[in-house]
Amino acid sequence: MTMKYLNKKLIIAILIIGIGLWLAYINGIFTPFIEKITNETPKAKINAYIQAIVRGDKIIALNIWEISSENNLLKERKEEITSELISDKINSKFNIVNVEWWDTCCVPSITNNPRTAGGARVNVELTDNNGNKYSYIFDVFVPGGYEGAAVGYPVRVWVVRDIYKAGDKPLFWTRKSGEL
Amino acid sequence: MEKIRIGTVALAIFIALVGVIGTAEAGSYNGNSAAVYAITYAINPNPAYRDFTNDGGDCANFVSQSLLAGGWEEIGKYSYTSDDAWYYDGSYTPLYSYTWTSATHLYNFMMRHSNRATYRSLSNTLWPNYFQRGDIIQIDYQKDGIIDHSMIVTGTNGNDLVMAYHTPNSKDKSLQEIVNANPNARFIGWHINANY
Repeated sequence: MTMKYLNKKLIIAILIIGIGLWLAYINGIFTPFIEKITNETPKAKINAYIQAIVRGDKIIALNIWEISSENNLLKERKEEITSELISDKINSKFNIVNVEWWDTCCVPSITNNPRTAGGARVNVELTDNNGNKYSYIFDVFVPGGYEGAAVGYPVRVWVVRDIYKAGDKPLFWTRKSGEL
Repeated sequence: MEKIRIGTVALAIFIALVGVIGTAEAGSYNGNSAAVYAITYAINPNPAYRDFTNDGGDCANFVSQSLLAGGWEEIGKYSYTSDDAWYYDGSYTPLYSYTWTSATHLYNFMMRHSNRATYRSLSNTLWPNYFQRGDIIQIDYQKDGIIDHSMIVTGTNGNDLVMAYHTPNSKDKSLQEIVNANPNARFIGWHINANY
């Protein structure tokens, strides 16, 4: 009798925990953790590109930098910057100076909330073997944008879209914040 | 054996009937009521609903609220990921459907429910001949098939349409100016049918 009662209680407890975990999952509570362990972050994508550069693996570096459209200027930049960085003999360690997060839904705008962002404009400081420093901007975006809570905070897939020297103009993400 | 056969046939008829009843929709839509709601809550969101402005974007949620105010009936509770469901019962999934809160899923819902919404091209620039208050305009900025923004028509101004939308909260916006500012975007027009 007691055993049966305990089993019932156990089943109810497992059921409640299961429903709780399911609700947490569909509302994206675990998403930041999943993104971190699966390396789906702008930093991880930048790191993958830089490590390929350090190894001199141009093909891998070019594959990481994905161009979404037939933008010839961006094609040229991709080839140029990648070759330049390989010849600069940069170090594998890099420093993220600043991240500008972008909400991509509705009218795209800069946000303080990385969790809802579909884009990251990352200012990265690179150093070569002689100690010279280079400041680059990495535009890393989620293809198709990100709608956050509207679709239950799914795991984002980040892609390097553009890389350019600080001060140069972006060729992929040219929008101004909050302007339709 | 005969009993089993009769039972199977009866079950098949029952399932077919449930399927027909389940998909049959009937309702009406008043574009003016939707537009009045949109103007009322364009700048100050209705507190009865979760505001998604800082949670990814509120444009589709705002348009869905306006469609509900116009008479659209909720459907498909609580199949929250289904593009055949459209409802809002609370602030967290599964209490709202993705079609309610996401521009792309709302687009999918309208594509699949042509009885409710009719696709209309914006290529003919005499827009007031084709669109009226309560109709919906959506934008795909990158032309990648992913819908980024949803707006509602709240009036006309000559050959132009006047729009309201959220994120950022805006009203009395000229569609012509929005089109001019986004020459590479794809614009999708939806006339919301008066009866469905």
